[in-house]
Amino acid sequence: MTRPDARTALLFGVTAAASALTGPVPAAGVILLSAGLAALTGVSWKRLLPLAGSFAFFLVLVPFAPGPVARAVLQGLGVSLAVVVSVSAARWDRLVAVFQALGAGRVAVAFFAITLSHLDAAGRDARVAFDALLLRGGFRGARGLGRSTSLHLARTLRRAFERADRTADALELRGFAGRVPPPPAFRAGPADIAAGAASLLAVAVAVGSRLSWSR
Amino acid sequence: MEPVKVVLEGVSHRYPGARSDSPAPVSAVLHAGEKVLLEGPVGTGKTTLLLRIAGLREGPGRVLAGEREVTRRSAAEIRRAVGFLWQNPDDGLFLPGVLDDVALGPLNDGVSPDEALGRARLHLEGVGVAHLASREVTTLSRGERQLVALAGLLAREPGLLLLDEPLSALDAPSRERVLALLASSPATVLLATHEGSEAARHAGFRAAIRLVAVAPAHATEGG
Repeated sequence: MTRPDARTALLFGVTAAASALTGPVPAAGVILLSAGLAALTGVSWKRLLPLAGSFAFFLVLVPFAPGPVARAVLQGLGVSLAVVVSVSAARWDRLVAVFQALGAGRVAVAFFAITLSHLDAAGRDARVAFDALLLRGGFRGARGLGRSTSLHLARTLRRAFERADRTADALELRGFAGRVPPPPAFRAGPADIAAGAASLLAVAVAVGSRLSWSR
Repeated sequence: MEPVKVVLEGVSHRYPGARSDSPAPVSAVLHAGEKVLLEGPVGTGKTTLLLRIAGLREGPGRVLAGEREVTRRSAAEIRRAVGFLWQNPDDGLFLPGVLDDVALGPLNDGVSPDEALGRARLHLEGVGVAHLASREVTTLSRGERQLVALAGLLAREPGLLLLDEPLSALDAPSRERVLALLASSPATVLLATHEGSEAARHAGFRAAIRLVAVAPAHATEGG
């Protein structure tokens, strides 16, 4: 299945996060819905594992916590998963368009767009630096680990600053005056229908849960 | 846009702490519409010379673009006519979507969004990557990003193209296509390369500026 439009993904992120905040049952529902949407739209499990891992750590600590924190952990996991899945599933280029459609100013839109690209390039630089250090025998032993980590950080930061300078020059050369192309026309695909259905389900679970509590 | 004549008079640059100029003083004339190779080994100042012409670096000597001297004050106006391709294409790509990025230049020149997107499609097709229009930049190979960056420059229809190693990540068919496209462009083209010079000469480029790595470095104009 293709990835959903950023507008649909945003709808899911907002409704699912809001639903998860209403109680533990909706939060559990949102966790399932987010996992389902992630599987359908091909969001990498590697991206979700650190998040799930950190919450698993919290769950281990729940019995030792002084108050009833299990509910908060469950809701936190629900909100976090909804946000991470919606952002990961959305197309980044459409995300910029959505930001613009939401009425953000030209400078803010440009800053957001350029930051996205810059972060990606900086991430690539960091990976290359890490691989280069590994191939030259870095990260071996406790001493080597510390030295290689500091070298890696220094090189990544230096590259990021150099890149920022070149970005400023390149923006001038491309005549940038703060305008980016408008968002493309919305056309719902299977992924958008899935994300829309998941949003409705999240709201339905939250409303149903509220109604059953009030009886 | 009209092709731009470029005159270089003793243009050089010395980086802080360096013992020699990089480039050493260069004097040359690029006639309007001419296709010129800028050759020289690594470290002889090819990129710096391109940046000087674009008004992004200052130093000894004079650069004239059209009738005007390139200075800090005039640079902004002159850059409207300049298309600059960076050696690392990532440096010149800003938006996550390919089509949006190529349309960025024309859009900021005041063209309507529809026309900017139309021009973007046209120039993506020109460099042979129309099929990438709906892709995200992060998913492209280096060669594909280089072609998208080139389409982004051409979409502004500049009068002067300053290209830093544009052929380095391209396969043979893409090189031929790009060189043929540049050779048929009305713009003045200065192409810095230490690869693909032969192919460029076949496409109609003349080797007018050769930077030489000697101490102190010096440059010659030939043809």
